[in-house]
Amino acid sequence: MSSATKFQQSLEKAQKEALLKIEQTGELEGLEQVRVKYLGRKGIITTLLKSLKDFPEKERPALGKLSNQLKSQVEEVLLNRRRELEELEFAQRREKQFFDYTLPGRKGWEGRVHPLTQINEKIIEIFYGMGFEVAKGPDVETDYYNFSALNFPLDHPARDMQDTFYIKDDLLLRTHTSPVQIRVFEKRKPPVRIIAPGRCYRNEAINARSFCTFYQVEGFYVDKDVTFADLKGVLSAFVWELFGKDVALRFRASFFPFTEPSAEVDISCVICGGKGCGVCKHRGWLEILGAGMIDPEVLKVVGYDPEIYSGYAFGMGVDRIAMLKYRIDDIRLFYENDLRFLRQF
Amino acid sequence: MKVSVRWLKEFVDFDLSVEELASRLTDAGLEVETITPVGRDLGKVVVGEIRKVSKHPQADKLSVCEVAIGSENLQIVCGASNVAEKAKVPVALIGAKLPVGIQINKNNLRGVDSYGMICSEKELDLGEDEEGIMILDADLKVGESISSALKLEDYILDIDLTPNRSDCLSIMGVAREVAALCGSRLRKREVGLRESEEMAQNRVQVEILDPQACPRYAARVIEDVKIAESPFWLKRKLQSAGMRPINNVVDITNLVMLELGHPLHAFDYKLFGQKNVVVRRAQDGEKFVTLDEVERTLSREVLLITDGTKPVAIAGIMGGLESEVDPDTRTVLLESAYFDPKVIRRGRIFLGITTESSQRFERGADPNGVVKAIDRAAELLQNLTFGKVLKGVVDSYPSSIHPVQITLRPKRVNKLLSTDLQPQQIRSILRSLELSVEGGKNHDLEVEIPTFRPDLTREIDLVEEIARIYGYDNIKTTLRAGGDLVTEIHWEDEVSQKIKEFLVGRGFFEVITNNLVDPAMLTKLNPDVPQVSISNPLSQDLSVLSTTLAYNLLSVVSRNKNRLERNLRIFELGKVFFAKRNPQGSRDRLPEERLHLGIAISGNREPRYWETEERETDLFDLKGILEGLFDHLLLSFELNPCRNAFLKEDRCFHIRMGEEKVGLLGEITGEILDVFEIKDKVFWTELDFEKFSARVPQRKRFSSLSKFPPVVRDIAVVVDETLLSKMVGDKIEEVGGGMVVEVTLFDVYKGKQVPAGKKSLAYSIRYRLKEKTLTEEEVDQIHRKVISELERSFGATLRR
Repeated sequence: MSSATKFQQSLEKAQKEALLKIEQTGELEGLEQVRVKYLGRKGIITTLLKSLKDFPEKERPALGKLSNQLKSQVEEVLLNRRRELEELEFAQRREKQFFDYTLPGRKGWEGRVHPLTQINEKIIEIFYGMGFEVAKGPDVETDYYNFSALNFPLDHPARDMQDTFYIKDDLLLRTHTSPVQIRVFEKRKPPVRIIAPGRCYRNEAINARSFCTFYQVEGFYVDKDVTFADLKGVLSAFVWELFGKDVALRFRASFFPFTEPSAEVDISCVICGGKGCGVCKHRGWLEILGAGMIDPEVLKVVGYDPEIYSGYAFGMGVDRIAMLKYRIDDIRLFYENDLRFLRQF
Repeated sequence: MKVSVRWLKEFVDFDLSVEELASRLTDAGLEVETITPVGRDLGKVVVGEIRKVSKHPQADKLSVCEVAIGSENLQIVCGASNVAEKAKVPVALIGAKLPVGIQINKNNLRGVDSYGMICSEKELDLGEDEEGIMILDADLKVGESISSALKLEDYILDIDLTPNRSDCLSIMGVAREVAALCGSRLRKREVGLRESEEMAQNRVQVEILDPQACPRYAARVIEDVKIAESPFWLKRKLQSAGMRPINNVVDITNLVMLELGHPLHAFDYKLFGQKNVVVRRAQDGEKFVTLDEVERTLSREVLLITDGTKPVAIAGIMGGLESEVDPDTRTVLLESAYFDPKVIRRGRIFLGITTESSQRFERGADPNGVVKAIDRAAELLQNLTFGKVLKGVVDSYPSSIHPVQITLRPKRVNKLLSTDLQPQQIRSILRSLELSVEGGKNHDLEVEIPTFRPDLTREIDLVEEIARIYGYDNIKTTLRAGGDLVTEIHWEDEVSQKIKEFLVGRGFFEVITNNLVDPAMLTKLNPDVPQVSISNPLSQDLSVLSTTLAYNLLSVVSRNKNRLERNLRIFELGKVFFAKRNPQGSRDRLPEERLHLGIAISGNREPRYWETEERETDLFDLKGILEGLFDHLLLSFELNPCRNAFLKEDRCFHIRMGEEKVGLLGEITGEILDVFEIKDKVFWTELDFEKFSARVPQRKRFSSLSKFPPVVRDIAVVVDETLLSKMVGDKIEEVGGGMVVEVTLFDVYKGKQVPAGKKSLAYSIRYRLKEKTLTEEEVDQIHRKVISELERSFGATLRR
């Protein structure tokens, strides 16, 4: 028997033994001993491999290749077995150290910003981004600011458009946030670019669609060369930012005493996408904004020359927009503050 | 305004589907709210002709008819008394389902087979008449479906008109819009009158005593009218507009109103006292019975039509009961007038009635359409009631109202709309609306506005007309950049944002409530505070503006507790309102509005947890929230005991910042909780937002961090039970000066370990200097000083 054959036999024998021992060993510690015995610095296989250098040069490559093959097989099996045993021991430890991590955490009380505030702030944020500043005015107004200065003449049917709560004499609860226009114009010179959020009041029967108080955001811009196209632009940008870029807009003619030309702005129904559904009364469109170019009479009242300046104004109901965005079917829910409602936003 | 599309087509041709028509009108400002198809539910009802009528062998009241329906003759048993040979009648065939719910089957009536039904108006839902079968015009074609023979198929557009468009309160007005929008021509009707020789002015005089209120009054006299039911087509038109037919004369005046937009009134000439129309103001307290049989007390606000002695109508609003046209009327006095819109508006508000007529006059009728309307009505009276129209219109029109002239600058149009319209385009748009346009100086246009458009008085009004007809959607959309304005964010908005964020983070729900509340309840909370009341409230319990947020916070607590939400942590940032005591004295007459922050808590201190006991919340939870909020805003406050109507005596405090009182904090009394039906304790605080937000530092300034370690010493002192702990803490800080950086009270003890009437307070004191490390000696020295100062000031003894 040549020494090469002998070498091969002893190597194969050692490998067989090693594989058998690995299989028989049941814990990590024993496995390590097996590793040292065969693959350690003085291990059986290691020692055999070291003797390779004593073989003639032409036999070495073939023997070397075989040796490495057998060694790496052992190494692989050893590694797999180690992983197996590690898992096993981990599972055993885990059982001893039971910890019920599914118990609830101490999360404290939950809180929420009211949905109307959320929408209101979203609207303000969008207009901030377009260069509008916030202005406010009183809830109790005079007839002058709420009506006369906005070109609602006394004894004009336009006054019936807004059912009003009166206090006494010429004091009333504002029916829209448009009076802020006049208050701002009185104090400033153009250019003025303002949004006026706030609470309004209408003397209307309370039901799912109307409440005696509600929130509005009024916006207006007066400068040289402000055009109807700018109004369409600012409102389109606003609508796309609030409802998404795939929403279509429709501007149609309307009437408000303080704007001329006046427009009503519809968006394609956000519920059905314009196909027609109960929310849009099968029209495919939802009315969300009133707008127009500020009437020259209004500019004159505050001493702006309508030949030099022009401007636009628009107004929207925050409650209505919140109802559309969250698909709320009863406006009264906003003012009832049932926690089951508030928690949803 | 309800508009029949079929009727509209009498005046204008258009080649649009009804949906397209509605959408064009809507875009142009005549918002079509609904499109209702009508006359489509009469399938299997056809025109039949009764060929033969014979008596039913078994029943006296029934007839057996042979009815031709074109293709065949049917045998039909009928119970109506007005069956007659040769009469054309509506026949419901077997299988028909009538609008009133009747299903037609083959039937056997007392031994005779019946193959259909001859119908009454009522059974076809075409009118109120149920007396007998409906007799149709003799020239209708046998076998034709009733829907097409009677032109029943139609669409009704319900248009929500804006108050400026008085001209569109008529079919003619809407037709004019349609013509402009579709580029077609308006079809006008010639009036064909055959007047008799006799002059109307010999039979009636007109005198206007208030020509400002009534600039024009015209009258005609029509003799020999025969009052009867109106023909089917006329009734149908009134019904399409939602009006009820009455008799031919009244129906004709209503028809003309719907057609031309001009309200008319018909009087019974015989009952018209002096035959002298006098238009005058009513006297205060004057009484008058209107045709709705209500006696009304009038005032100077109301304009009257009188017959020279007594009132016969409230001008432009409603006629009188006494001079009403009735079945015995033979001679009709027809009125067509123009009244000042303001006068009609004031009158109808005073009387509290709105009529078809008042609506049109209030929004503005056409002073120069008076004669056209009266002539059209006279023509119809002549043709439909066999009336003889007396010669001439008795027309009092003291000073003519002329069309308005407006100079329009095409440049201005294009500048405001950002369009590029040529003068020719502008001209043709305006002409399509029946405005006349002439060229003026400098390429300007001179536009004459017919008096049927009282809403057009200024150049800007024409800009809108051009934009409307040109189409808003055809105007471009420019996205202008932010421009040269700097947006300023107001400090108070930032503070309110911070407050909301803080409180929500601490587990609070923001609430928004109705600040219209019940004055009696409010007075219980805030007696002696002047309230702002609504003079026309929706109801008594919504008739004042709230003076405190407590009212609504308690309401929200109560409502939620009723729904088994026991634990409430809520806040509101809202306005409260105070009436001024001397509104005359001050220059600003508006009531005082203050923005308040209100917070309420009730229920458990923490959410129920498996590890800990449930504990009910108390005053220190609320105080802690407020302390946390103030720390967050870099503010501090102190509490001072005070008294208040709805807080418990020993749990009621002012919140003070320096010398200023900025709010209240405390526990709600049992009495008030009973009123709100709340069973648990409620702790509440309310602050004047503006007062404390003004103190929030806008600029924060960094101070460098000490590099040297602190030394911590604990101390426990025994003091009188009634000594406020704050006094001790403040004293430690005061004595420690700059060396004390933090004093924490970590234990309060009363019991066996300390003498009766005493308590032990334990503090942890943190000493540090910014510039160097404190030595043991230095700390001992200052700490001893603290102890001796506490002994001296409060008789404190050190507890060991």
